[in-house]
Amino acid sequence: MPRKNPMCMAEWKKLLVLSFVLLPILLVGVVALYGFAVWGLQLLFLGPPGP
Amino acid sequence: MKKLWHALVSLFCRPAAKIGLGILVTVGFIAGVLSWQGFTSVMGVTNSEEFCVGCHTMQANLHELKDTVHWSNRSGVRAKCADCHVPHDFTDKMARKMKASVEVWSHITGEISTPEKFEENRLRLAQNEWARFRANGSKECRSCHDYKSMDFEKMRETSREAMRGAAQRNQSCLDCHKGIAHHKPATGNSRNPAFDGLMQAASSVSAKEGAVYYNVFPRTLYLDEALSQTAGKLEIAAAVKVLQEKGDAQQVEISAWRKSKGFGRVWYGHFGKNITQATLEKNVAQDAQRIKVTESREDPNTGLVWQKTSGVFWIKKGEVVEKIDPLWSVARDSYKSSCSVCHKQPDEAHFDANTWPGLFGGMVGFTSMDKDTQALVLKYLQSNSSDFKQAGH
Ligand code: HEC
Ligand code: HEC
Ligand code: HEC
Ligand code: HEC
Repeated sequence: MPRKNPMCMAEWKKLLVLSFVLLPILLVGVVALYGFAVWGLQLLFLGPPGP
Repeated sequence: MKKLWHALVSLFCRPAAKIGLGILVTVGFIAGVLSWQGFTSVMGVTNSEEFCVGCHTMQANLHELKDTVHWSNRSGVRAKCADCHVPHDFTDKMARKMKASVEVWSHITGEISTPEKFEENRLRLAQNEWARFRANGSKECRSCHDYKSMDFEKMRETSREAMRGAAQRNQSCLDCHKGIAHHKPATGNSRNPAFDGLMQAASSVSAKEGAVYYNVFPRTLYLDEALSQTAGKLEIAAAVKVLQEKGDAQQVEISAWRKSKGFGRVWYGHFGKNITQATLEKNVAQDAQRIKVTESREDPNTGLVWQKTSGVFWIKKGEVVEKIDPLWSVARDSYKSSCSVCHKQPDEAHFDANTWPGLFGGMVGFTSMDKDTQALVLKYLQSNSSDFKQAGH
């Protein structure tokens, strides 16, 4: 394995970006979206949550 | 845009050529654990009391909570804001958090940015919470309090019967325990909307001279047609005879009973019954020129002497209606909905006119009736009490 493989570097970068930037953002985004969706449904159809 | 798309596609779809699958999975796993950990701790922070009261508008609620049993008690269990206000299961919690983020936004952008604005909106906010607790049966309270674990015998005597009944019906705590953590918003200032309808009706009544009308809302009585000197207050649902109309004023005659003891300021509708019609100022009540006494009778029950009196006053035009029924129907609705929360509302004729005020006064604190509705409902109960039911037969 050559010591400085640009390809390898790029892949590590991608991996780190994916797992430590994109993943958290997506996580928060998806949960927020889910929250808003449920809230919207509650406003329109469901009414406040029951017991 | 297209470039970004390509970058994304290659980021996700091109297989890694140099990094082993094991490393990918391991890094992904670690990233997942860390993000979830971060996520839950952020959720924890936003559930903390410090975060809740960070906006100064929430300070009032905090201060009020400090005076209650949920802040400090002999058991040392503290209820935090989120214990009562944030649903405990994931879906509802997330929905609530997103709603809260909009609330924080409205704080920042100024819709509810000052303590004054907060106070204005307080009743509405409390009503939202009441509705939420009604819908979920006060689930949040019950994560700490459980009917099944309550020892009713150990409760105060005043609590026992009410709480036993509540447990049997599995009733929502907030049906009865409004204002448990903060001051109950003053519903006293917000008028029962049903009165607007009555006032509307009253404003379009053209009164015939010599006919009897009923007052729809507590009013000031005046001595003169210019409506400048006050004589006292005409109570809600009081009957008056209209004598004449002049401009904006109406001359009315009030016939009532009063007790001969004291100043005779309070006038009652019927002999021996404490159903108030009007309250006069002291000098007016004592003015023999104005107030005619036509009859005196002793009440055998109390030994007090009652006098039949009448007086002529002025009121503003457009404040009376022809029939008492619309007033009673407002009262009946309010009575039925407010007084049936804890027990079936007692039959109106189950008590007599002089017993109702004490009973009603003891109970009305449990309800959210405003004070004019209270006065009207009490009068309705008295006027339909056993005294009058029997007379009617
Ligand atoms: C975090 C747990 C917790 C939650 C949530 C909670 N409570 Fe309590 N509550 C307590 C504790 C602890 C006490 C005091 C017990 C004691 O006397 O030591 C208490 C006391 C009370 C009392 C008795 C007050 C008195 O004067 O003795 C009432 C009523 C009450 N709670 C109603 C409610 C209602 C209604 C809710 C929901 C809005 C609620 N609680 C939510 C823990 C909780
Ligand atoms: C039907 C109305 C009603 C409902 C519903 C109700 N309560 Fe009560 N509760 C009362 C009344 C009335 C008292 C007595 C209050 C007083 O004396 O000031 C009381 C007293 C209490 C007390 C004080 C007991 C003691 O030591 O004397 C607690 C705690 C309490 N309620 C908790 C709850 C909880 C929790 C719920 C919901 C799971 C609930 N209550 C539902 C009417 C109700
Ligand atoms: C024991 C449960 C309990 C706790 C703890 C609690 N609340 Fe409340 N809160 C209520 C209830 C019940 C209402 C509904 C109004 C009422 O009955 O007073 C309410 C209403 C409110 C409202 C609506 C406006 C109003 O004042 O009625 C706000 C805002 C609020 N709470 C904020 C807070 C904050 C901030 C905290 C923490 C410092 C907190 N609450 C802690 C039970 C609680
Ligand atoms: C918070 C629950 C609650 C509400 C709301 C409530 N009551 Fe009561 N009421 C009770 C309880 C508990 C008792 C039993 C108390 C007792 O026996 O000392 C009672 C007893 C009574 C009694 C006595 C019954 C008798 O035969 O002696 C009357 C009358 C009464 N209520 C009328 C009313 C009226 C009128 C209203 C509406 C303004 C009302 N109640 C609203 C809880 C409530």
